[in-house]
Amino acid sequence: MSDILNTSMSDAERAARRAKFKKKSEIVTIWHQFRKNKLAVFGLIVFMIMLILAITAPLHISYEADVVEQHISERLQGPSAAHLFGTDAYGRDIFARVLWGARVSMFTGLAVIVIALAGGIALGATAGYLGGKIDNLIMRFIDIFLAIPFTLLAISIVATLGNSIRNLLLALSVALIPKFTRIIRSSVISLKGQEFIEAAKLCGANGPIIVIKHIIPNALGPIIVEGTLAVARTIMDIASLSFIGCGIQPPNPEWGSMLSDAKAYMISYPYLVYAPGIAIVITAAALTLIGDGLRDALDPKLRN
Amino acid sequence: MLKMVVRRLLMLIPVLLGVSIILYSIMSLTPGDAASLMLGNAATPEAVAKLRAELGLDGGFIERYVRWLGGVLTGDFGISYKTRNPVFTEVFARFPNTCKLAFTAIAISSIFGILFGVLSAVKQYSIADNIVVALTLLLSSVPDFWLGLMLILIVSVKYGLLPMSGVDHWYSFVLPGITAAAGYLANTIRMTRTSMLDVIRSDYIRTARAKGCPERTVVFQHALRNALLPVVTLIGVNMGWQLGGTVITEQVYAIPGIGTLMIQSIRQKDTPVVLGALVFIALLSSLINLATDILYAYIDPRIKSQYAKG
Amino acid sequence: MKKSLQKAFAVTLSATLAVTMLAGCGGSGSTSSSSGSSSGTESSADAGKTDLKVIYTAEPTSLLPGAEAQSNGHMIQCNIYDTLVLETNGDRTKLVPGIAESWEYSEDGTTLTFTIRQGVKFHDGTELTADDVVFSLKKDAEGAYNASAAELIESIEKIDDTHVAVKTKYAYKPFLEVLAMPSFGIYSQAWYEKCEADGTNTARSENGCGPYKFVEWQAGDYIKLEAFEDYWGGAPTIKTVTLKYMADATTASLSMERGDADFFLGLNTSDREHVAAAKGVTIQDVPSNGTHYLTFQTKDGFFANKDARKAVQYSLNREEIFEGGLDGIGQVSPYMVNPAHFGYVEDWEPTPYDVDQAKSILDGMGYDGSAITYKAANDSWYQKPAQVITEQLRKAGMNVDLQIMERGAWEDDVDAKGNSDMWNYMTWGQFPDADADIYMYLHTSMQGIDYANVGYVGNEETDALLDKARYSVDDDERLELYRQVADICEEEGWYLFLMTGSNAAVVSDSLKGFEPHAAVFYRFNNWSF
Repeated sequence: MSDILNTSMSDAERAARRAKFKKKSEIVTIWHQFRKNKLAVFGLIVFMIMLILAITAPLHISYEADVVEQHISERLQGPSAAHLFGTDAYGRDIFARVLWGARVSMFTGLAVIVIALAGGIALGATAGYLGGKIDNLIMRFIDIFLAIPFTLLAISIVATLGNSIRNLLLALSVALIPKFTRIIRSSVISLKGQEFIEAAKLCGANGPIIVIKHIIPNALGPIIVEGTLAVARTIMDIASLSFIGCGIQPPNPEWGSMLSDAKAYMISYPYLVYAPGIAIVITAAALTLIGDGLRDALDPKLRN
Repeated sequence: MLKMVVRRLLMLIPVLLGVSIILYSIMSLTPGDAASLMLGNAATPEAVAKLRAELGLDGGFIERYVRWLGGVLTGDFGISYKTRNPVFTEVFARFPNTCKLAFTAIAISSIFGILFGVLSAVKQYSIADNIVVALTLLLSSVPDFWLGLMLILIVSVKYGLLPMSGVDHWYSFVLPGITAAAGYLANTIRMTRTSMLDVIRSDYIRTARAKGCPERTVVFQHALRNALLPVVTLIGVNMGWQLGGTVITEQVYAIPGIGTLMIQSIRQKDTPVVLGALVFIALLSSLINLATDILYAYIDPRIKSQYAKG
Repeated sequence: MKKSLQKAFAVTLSATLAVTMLAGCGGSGSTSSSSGSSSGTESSADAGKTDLKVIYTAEPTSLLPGAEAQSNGHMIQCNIYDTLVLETNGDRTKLVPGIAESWEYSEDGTTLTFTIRQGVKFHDGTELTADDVVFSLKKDAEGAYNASAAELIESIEKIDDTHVAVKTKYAYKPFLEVLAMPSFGIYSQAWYEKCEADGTNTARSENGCGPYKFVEWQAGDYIKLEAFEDYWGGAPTIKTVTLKYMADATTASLSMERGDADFFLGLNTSDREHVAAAKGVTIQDVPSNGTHYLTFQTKDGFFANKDARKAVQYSLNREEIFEGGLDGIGQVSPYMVNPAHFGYVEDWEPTPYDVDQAKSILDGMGYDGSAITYKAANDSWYQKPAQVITEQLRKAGMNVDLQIMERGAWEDDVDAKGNSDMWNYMTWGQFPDADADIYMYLHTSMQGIDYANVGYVGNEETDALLDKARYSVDDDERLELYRQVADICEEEGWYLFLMTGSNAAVVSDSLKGFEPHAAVFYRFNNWSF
C-alpha cells in the first residue's frame, strides 16, 4: 500500500517537473515565434531605445538645470538649433522635458501594471482556484467595479483623494484590477483541471503553493500579453488624466500635463503640442506591437 | 428567453446597489465643503453653516446614504448644490449631447471598422491590408485628447472646415465623433479582420470555394454574415462604454455633455450631480450590455440553447 | 444562414434605433437651441442689428441677486435687475440714479434716504413699490455673497410710499457703491413669495425691473434675454440677447474671430496674439479688480519666522511672475490696494529683488533645506504664477514642494483654513475701495475665520489703522492710513502683492457703446450696432 503510494508520488513529481521543463522550452519557442514577426521586433527595438533613453536621461540632461529651471526671457520660442522642439511658456527646453517625460510616463505606466497585476493575480487566482462561494463573492465584487466606466472611476478616485502621483497610480490600478482578475481567473480555472496540477496536489502541495508554483507560471502567457497592452493603454490614460488636470503635478514633465499646459497656447504656438503627443503615440504603438507579437507567438493556432 | 431576461435583470440589482455604495463612498470621501464653495470667499462662516444645514450635509454617513438611496429609488437624485435644480434635470439636459456624440462615434467606428476589417481580411497581405493594419495601430496608440487637439489645429484652426466646439449643428459632431471613435474603430477593425480570417479559413468556406462559388458570393453571402456575429457584440459593448467614455472628448471640444457636467461638478464639489451622473451612466451601460447579451443569445443558437437548458 | 444574417442586421438596427431614440429624447431641447443660434451668424453688415450674442465661460449659480459670486453672473444680473443707484457705463466711481431718483445722507453720514422712482414696472407688468425695495434689499442682504456688506447695515425701513431709509452701523464712505452692485438688485415681493409658495426655483425664473427680461436658461448651453419694452429708462435698442456658454476660452476666442458672437469676456492671455491678429474684433482690456498676492501661514511652520518671509520677499522677481504667470497682460502691482480702487497710491516701492540677500538670510537662520509646502489652485490664473514663484524660490535655495490642487479642494483646505506654508491668491474687493480689498485679510479680528485672515497676520498697530481708515470719511486721511498699513505689512512680510490681471474682453467692431468696466457690470441697453 505504502509502496504504491510512493511510486505514484514520484510519478506525480516527475509530471510536475516535466511541466516545468516544458515551460522553459516554451519560452524559447515563444521567442523564436516572436522573432519571426518583424513588426513586433521593430516595436521591441523602438521600445528598448525609448527605455534606454529614459533610463540614461540623467546622464545627458540635468533635471534641475534643463527640465525645471525657467528662463522667462526665452519663453515660447519656436524650434531652433538651440532648442530642438522649441521652448514652453516658462522658457524651458521642450526636448529635455519630453525626454525626461519618458521616464515619468514609462515608470508610472509600469508601476500601475505591476500593482494592478499583483491585485489581479491575488484576486483572480483566489477566485479561480478556490471556486464556490469565495469565487462568487470576488466576482460579484468585480462585476460592480466593471459596471463603472474605467475613465469615470479613475477620475472620481483622483478627484476625491487629490492630485498626486500616488493617487493616480492607485486610481488607475484600482480601475484595472477587475479586468486582470477576470483574465487570470479564467486561465486559472482552465489550468486547474489539468493533469500536472492534479499530480502536484497528490504530492501533498497545498493550495497557495500550487497556485504560486504551478498555476501562475503557466498562466503567465496571457498575463504578459495583457500586461504589455495595458502598459500602452495606461501610458495613454495617465496622459489623459493629467491632461484634464487629474494627474501628475508640474513642474514634473509628464507628457499629458505638458499638453495640458500647452493647450492654452495651442492656437498661437502649435509646435508646443506636437512633441509630447508624438512621444505618446510612438511609445504606445511600440508596446502594442510587442503585445500583439507576443499574443501571436503564444497562440498555438497561428504557429504553423 | 423571458426567464433569462428576468434573471439577468434581477442580477443587475445587487450590482447597481454595489455601484451606488462604492460611488457614494468615494464621493463622500471628497475633501471640501460644498456650502463654502458655493458662496465664494466673501462669505461669512455663519452663512456657510446656514447653507450647509439647508443642503442636508449634516448627519452620519449611513444616514445620508440611506436618505439618498431612498430618493434615487423614487426617481429623486437630489438637488444640485450649484443650480438648485433637480439632479435628474441637470443630467438629462446634458444627455442628448453625450448621446449624439456616442452615437456618432459608434456609427463611425462600426461602419468604417467593418468596412476596413473586411477589406483587410479579404485582401490579406495586400497593400490595402498593410495600410489598414498600420491605421489600426495608429488609431489604437493615439490618446483621444491629442487626436482631438490635432484635429482642431488642422481642420478647424488651419483650414476652418469644421467648428472646434459646440453642439448646434450636426456637423459640430464630426470631429468629436472621430476623436471618440478612434480607439473603438481600431478594436472593430481588428475584431472584424480576425473574425473574417477565421471564417475564411474554415471548412465550409473552403467547401463553398471548392464547389466553385464566385469569390464575391463567398465573401459577402457566406463569410460576412458569420464573421459579423462577434463584431455585433463588440459594437454593443462599445456602445455601453462610449456613454461613459466620452468625458475626455467632451472636455477637448467643450461639449456640454454628461462628462463635462461631471468634471465641472467635481470641481464645484456638487456631489449630488457627480453621483447622479455616475449612477445614471453605470445604469445605462449595464442595461445596454444586458441588451447586447440578450440579443446575442437570440442570434446565436448555441447560447440560446444553453439558456434554455439552465 | 440567411436567417442568422437577417437576425444580425435586425440586432444592429434595433441597437441603432435604441440609440437614436435615446438621442431623440432630448432632441426637442436642443433643436430650439440651434434655431436660436442660426439667427446671429451674419457677420459683416451688422449695422442696425438688434440681436446680441455674448459668450460666457463660467456658468453662474443663480441669477437672483444676493447669492451669485461669479462675475459672469453679475453681468447677467445687472441686466435683469436694476439697483437703487447705477454705475455709469465705463466709470465705476460715478453713480447715477437708478430705482432711486435721488438720495440724501443724514448729518452723521449713517442714514441714506432714497426717493423711489415712480412708475417703474417689473417684467411681469406689476408696478414697483417702496415695499418691494425694502423686501428685496433685506433679502439681498441675507444672500451669502453679500454677507460682509450686510454686516454694515443696521436697518432698512420704508418711510412712506416714495421713501426708503437705509441705516448703517457707522458712516461708511463707500456704502453707495455697495448698493450699486448687482447683488443688491431690486425684485418683486409678490413674485418672490409666490415662487416660495409654489416651489419655483428663483435661481432660474426671474422677475426684475432691469432693461432685459429673462427668457430661458439651458444649463451648460445658453441663457436668453429679451428687451423689456416698458423699461423705465426707455426700451433698449438691442432686442434679444443670447448668452452662449463655452467652457473653453480658446474656443470662445476662435468663435469671436469667426464672427459667431459679438462679445466675449475672459480672453485667455495665451490666445491674445491670435485674437489681436484677427479682423473684425478688438481686444478691450478691463483691469481686474483683484490683486494677486503671495502669503504665508505665520501661526506655525517655516514662515512663523519673519526672516523666512523676508527671504521670500528678496527672492521674488515680480516682472517674471507677471510675464510667466499672466503672460504679461495687466500690470505689476506691488501695492495692496487694487489700482482701480480707492486707496491706491502709485509711488509705493516694495522690497527690491535680491537673491543674494535672500540666500544670506536663509543661511543666517540656518535653513536646512527641509520642504516648504506650497499648495496652489489648479486654475491657470493661480497655477502659472505659482509655478514661476516656486522656481524663483528654488533658485534662492528654498526647497518648495508645490502641490497643485483641484480648485474646490484648494479653497476648502487653503483659502478657508490656511493649511499650507504659503499660497497665492487674489484679493477680491467687492466694491472699489481699499477697505473691501484688505480689511478681512489683515485685521486680527478676522484671524482664524474661514476665508479671512487664515494666515494669522496683523497686530494692534495695523488694527488701529484699519479701523480708523474704515470709519473715516476724509479721503486724504484714508489714503495716508492705508499707506501706513502697507508699510507695516511689507516690513512684516505678511502679504506680498504681485500684480493685477486683465478681464480682457473681445468685442466685435460693429458693437457700439462698449466701455470697459472693472467689475464687468455690462448693461446691454448701453450698446447698439
